[in-house]
Amino acid sequence: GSKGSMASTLGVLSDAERLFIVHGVQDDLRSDGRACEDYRHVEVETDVVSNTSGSARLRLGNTDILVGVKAEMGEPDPGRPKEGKLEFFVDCSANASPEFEGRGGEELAIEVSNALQRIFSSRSTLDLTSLCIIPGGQCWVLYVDVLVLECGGNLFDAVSLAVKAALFNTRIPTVLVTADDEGQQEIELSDDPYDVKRLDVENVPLIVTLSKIGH
Amino acid sequence: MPGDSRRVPGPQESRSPHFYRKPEAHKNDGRRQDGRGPQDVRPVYLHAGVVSQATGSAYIEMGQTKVIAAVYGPREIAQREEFTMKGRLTCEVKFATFSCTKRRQHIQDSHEKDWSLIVLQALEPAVCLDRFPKSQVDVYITVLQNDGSALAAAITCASVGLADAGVMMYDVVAGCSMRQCGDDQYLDPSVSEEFQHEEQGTAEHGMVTVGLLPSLNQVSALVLDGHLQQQTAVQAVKTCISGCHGLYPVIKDCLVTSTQRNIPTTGRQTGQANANGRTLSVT
Repeated sequence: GSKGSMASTLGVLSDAERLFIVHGVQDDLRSDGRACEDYRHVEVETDVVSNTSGSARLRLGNTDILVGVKAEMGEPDPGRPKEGKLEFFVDCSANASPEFEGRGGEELAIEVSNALQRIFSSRSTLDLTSLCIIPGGQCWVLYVDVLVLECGGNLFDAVSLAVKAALFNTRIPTVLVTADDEGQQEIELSDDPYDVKRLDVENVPLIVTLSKIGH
Repeated sequence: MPGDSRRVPGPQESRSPHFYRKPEAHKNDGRRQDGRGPQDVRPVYLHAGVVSQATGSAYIEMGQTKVIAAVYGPREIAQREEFTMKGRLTCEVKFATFSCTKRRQHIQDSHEKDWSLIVLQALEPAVCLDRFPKSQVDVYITVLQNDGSALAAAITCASVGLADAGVMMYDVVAGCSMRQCGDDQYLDPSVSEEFQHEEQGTAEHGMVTVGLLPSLNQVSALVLDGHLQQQTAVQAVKTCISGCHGLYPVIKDCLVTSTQRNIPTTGRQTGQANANGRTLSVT
């Protein structure tokens, strides 16, 4: 888990409140009535934003996350010519908490962004070779943009769930690569809007955050 | 990339020749490329008090990895409106532009910001923050040469720098990395051995870095890249912890040597404080 700047949003606890929580946790009872290993109610909805290639909205208790995935064509990494790319951007909007006004949410956003970058760095999570168009020339770049609408705790878990749902929902247009008379390669996008391919998100990881209270 | 008007920019479209190099074949006789055994760490050189202008500093060499850390403080907190009973610790990690195979940007990128946060999380539990309220201590770490395990080196170097600065601490923090390659474990990987996100079949591949408070035996930093089975991950962390314990005598020795160096010679020079006029706290 990560502490980051989350503690400042909760305010200060009195000693009595702190003791109450510690004693409750010892009896497997948290302050909202949950057991120690229970999650809050989760609601996931996909295909919520029409201008994206894939999107998802997730509510985990009071945490509200909106993820949009846009697929664009770009050049692959010189060291990995047969793979596409995944770029993450997290925005802790000012709606989520007054502390995120201006550049206040940047630190937390960078932390979440780095966590996503790290968990997707392993090639076993997503088959990036399926995003290749022309090896060494063109590939699909998936821009995964995460918008934190409301910050009600457990941000990392909620973001990873929403990202998985959005990637599941992502539709990548089928492209046809043809060589014209001069030997130049041409890329053609299919006319049929339903001629798309989907991603295999079976191995996309989920984040679980644990907090240690008392012993 | 926004242009920096103060510097003469290099060409935008340059590329490292590294990509055209043929990949080296891995030796398979149980020894690593530099001849070490799997559990051998590289020789460590640690020296405290290298930056004269800083309150405290340290320089570490782990094989060819060179990291320098400078500590400034306790000094007035940057945002004066914030009153806190606890002091504040900030940390900035930067790779020198020439430190890696591929030239790095001079502006701190997201990878360096990530490492800054990790080192901060590694150091915070060790520092007695309540000893300097409304003040902050700044730690600046520069990786001069990256030949692998730079994060572990940065953690160790920063904590020695903090001790050298006289910042009160519960314990030093020792850092150690290891690489899991299928069934093989390599302690203190060099850059050619480091986890490069290359998939070699479905075997487990990953790299673990641990920051440990040795005398309290508490882990303050744990980073895992790649994918490992649960048992493998647990075993990897244990290996790193033992590596950290192995580094602890080196840290102690360095701090004792630097303290002895700073004690003014007695006799005719009594009454003369040492050059920096500060005392060093050694636990």
